[in-house]
Amino acid sequence: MHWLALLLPPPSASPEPSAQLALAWWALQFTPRVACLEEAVVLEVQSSLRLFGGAPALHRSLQPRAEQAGIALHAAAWAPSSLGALALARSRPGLDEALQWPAEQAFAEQLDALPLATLSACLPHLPMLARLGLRRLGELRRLPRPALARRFGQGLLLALDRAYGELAEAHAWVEIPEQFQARLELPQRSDNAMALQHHAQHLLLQLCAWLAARHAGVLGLTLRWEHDAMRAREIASHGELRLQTAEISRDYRHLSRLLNEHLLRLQLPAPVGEISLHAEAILPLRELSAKLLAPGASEGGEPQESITQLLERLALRLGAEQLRCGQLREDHRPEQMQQWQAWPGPSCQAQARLAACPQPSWLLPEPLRLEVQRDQPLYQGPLQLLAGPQRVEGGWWQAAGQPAQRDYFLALSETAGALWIFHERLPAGRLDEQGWFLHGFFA
Amino acid sequence: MRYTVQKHSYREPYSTRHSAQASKHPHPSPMSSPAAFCAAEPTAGLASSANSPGLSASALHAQLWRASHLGSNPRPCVSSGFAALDAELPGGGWPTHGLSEILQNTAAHLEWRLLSPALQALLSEPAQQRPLLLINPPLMPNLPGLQASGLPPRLLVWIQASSPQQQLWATEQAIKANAAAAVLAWLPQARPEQIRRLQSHAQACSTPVFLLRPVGVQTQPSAAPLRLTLRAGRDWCLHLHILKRRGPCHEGELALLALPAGLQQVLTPRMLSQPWPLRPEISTTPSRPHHALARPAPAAALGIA
Repeated sequence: MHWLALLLPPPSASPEPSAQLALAWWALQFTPRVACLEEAVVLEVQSSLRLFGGAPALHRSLQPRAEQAGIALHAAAWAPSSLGALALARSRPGLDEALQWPAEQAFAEQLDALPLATLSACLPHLPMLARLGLRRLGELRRLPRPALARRFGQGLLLALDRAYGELAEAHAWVEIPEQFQARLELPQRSDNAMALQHHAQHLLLQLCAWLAARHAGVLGLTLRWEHDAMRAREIASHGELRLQTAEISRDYRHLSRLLNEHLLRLQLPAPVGEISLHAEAILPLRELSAKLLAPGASEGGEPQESITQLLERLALRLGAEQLRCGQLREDHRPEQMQQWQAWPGPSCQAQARLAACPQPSWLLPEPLRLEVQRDQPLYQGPLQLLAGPQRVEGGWWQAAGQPAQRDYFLALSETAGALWIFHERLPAGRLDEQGWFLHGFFA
Repeated sequence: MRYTVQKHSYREPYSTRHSAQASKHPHPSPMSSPAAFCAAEPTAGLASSANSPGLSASALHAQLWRASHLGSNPRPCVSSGFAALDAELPGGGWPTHGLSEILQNTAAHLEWRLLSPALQALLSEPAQQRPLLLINPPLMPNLPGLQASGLPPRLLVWIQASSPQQQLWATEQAIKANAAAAVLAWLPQARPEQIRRLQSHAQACSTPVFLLRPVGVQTQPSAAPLRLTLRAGRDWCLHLHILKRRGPCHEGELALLALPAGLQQVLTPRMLSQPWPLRPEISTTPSRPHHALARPAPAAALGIA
C-alpha cells in the first residue's frame, strides 16, 4: 500500500469549503481510490505507480501538476497507511523533504517520533496524556494495551493500530459526478464585475479538477449569475458570460486569464447574489508527451504559454479583428493577391501559385496618387523608372468596383528605396482618375 | 588590473529580476579607456555573483569584455545572414534575450531586406512551427512579396493595436510569452522607460525581439543592448551604423548588399552596378525648346514694337 496524504493550506488562508472536494477531484487523475480524511485528501496509488514512472517520479510531478490546476498544496507525505501519511504530512509542512523517505529509517520509527497531536484520535485526551508525561506516539504505543483501552477507550487503540498499518482501514471513496455543476452564493452582493472574479476562480478551480479526473478539456465555459431581488424592474433576473477557447484546454491559468479579460469589460446592471459555472463541449484531452531532453542552457527558456493562448488573450483585449492571419489568393491585382482575416483563419490553406513578377513586401491600403511634373511621377523627389511596364487587367467579373487597367513600374526613389507604382489606364473621358499611383514598397 | 563596474541608476519596475538585468547605461556606451573592463551585468548581479563560490570563472568572464574588443555573448545568437554584419555584432548575430533596436527613416521601409535572412532561418526550423508576430506594422504586409523573401504566409500574424498603450502591452505580452519565432514591433512613440521595461522582460525571452523605430529617436537613451541605424544607399546596399553594442564604438558605416526579394530577375547588371540616378537630374525649370519652329517668335519679328 502506498498512501499519499495531501493537505491544503490552513482554513484561514482559503475559506472555501469546496476546496477539499476540488482537491479530491483533482487527485482522481492519479487513482480511483481517493478519500477525504478529516481536513486532508488521501489517495492510494500503489496500483498506478508504474503508470507514472515510479513513486519518486509521481512525487515530483505532484507540485507542477497542482500548480497548473491552480491548487496550492500545503503539505504532502506518503506512508503505508492513510492515517500514518496524514500524521507525517501534518508534522512536516512542505513538499520537498516530506516526500523524501529516509531509507535507513523504518516507517514505525518515523511514526514513533511524531508528536501526539498529529493523530486526531489523541486530540480529546491530550491534556491527560500530557499529564502522564507522554509527548510522542512511540511513548503512547509502548504503554500496556488493556490499560490504555480501559483508560481512553477503544477508539484511540484502533486509530493507533491503523496508523501503524496493523489494522485494515475502511474509506468512503470519492466519486466523480457525471455532470459538472458548481454554484456559489456570494458572501455579499456585489455589482462590481471584478469582485466576481475571485469567486469565479474558485468555481473554475473545481471545474479544472473535475476535468483532470475525467482526462478531458473544454472548448467553452459559461459563467451565469443571478441578480438579487433588489434590482430595477426592467433588468432580467440573471445574466451570463460565454467564453470560448481555440483549443481544448483545462489549464487553470489560461482559463482564469481569459475569464479575467472578459470580466474586465463586463458591466453588471445590478448586484449579483449567486454565480454558477457550466462547461460546454467537454472533449477528451490528448496529452502530449513531455520532451525527452531537458531544455539546456543553449535552448533558453521554455515558452511561458503556448502561442494559441497568447494570441487568444491578445485578440480578447485588442479586438478579434485586430489579429489577422493571411492567405494567398490567385489573382493578378496586388490588392487581391492576399486576404487578411481575423485570427484564427481556416485550418487548411489553399495552395496558390506565386506571381511571376516581383511583388513588393509592403502594400498601401489605398493607392496613393502621386504628383506629376513634366509627365514624371514624384514621391519625395523625382522617381527613376527601372523596369516595366507590367500590364494588369482584371476584375471585370466582379460587379462591385471597376475593373483595374494598370501598368505597373518598378521605380527608385533616393529616400524611400524601390517603389511599386502604376499608371492607371482608363478611357479618356475619366481624366480625373488617370495618373500615377504609389501602391507598394520593396523593402 | 582595474575593473570598472557600472552603477545602474534607473528605477527598476520589477523587483524580481535584480540579478538578471543587463547593463542599461545611456547611449552611447561609456568607453573611457581601452584598459578598462566593462560589465554586462550591473552592480548587484556582479557583486553577488563574484562573492558566491558557485559561479565559475568562465561564466564571469563571459560577462566581461575589454573595451577595445567586441564582447562575446554567452547566449545563442541568430546569424543575420550577412557575414560583414555578423563580424560586427557581439556573439556573431542578432541577440536573443535582449532587444535589438533598428532605427530608420520614416519614409524608408528597409526592414525586410535586412531581417529576412535571419527570419527565414528562424521560421524554417521544422521542429517548432512558431509564427512570426508583426506588431503594429506601418503598412499592410504583402504576402506574395514576403513569400518571395522566404517567409511563409501561414506563419505570419499581423497584430494591429490602435493606441500606443496597446502596442506596448501587446509587445510585452508577446515577449513574456516567449512563444513566437521572433517578434517585430513598430513602436514609434515608445518612451525610454517603456523600452527599459520591455528590455527587462526580454531578458527571459529566448527569441530575437526587433523594435523598429524612427531615426529621430537616436538621441534618446535606450535600454536595448543593440541599436543601429539603417538607410538606403544610392546603390542597392543597406548602409548600417551600429550606435550601441557590447563592444567598441562602431566607426563608419557597413554597406550590405541586399536586394529586395524578387528584383534579381528584373534588374539588369547595369542597373545593379551603377549608383542612382542612372541619368542626370531632371531640371525643374522648363528648358528652352531647341526646334526653330517651336521657339516663340521674337516680338520684333512680329512688328509689335
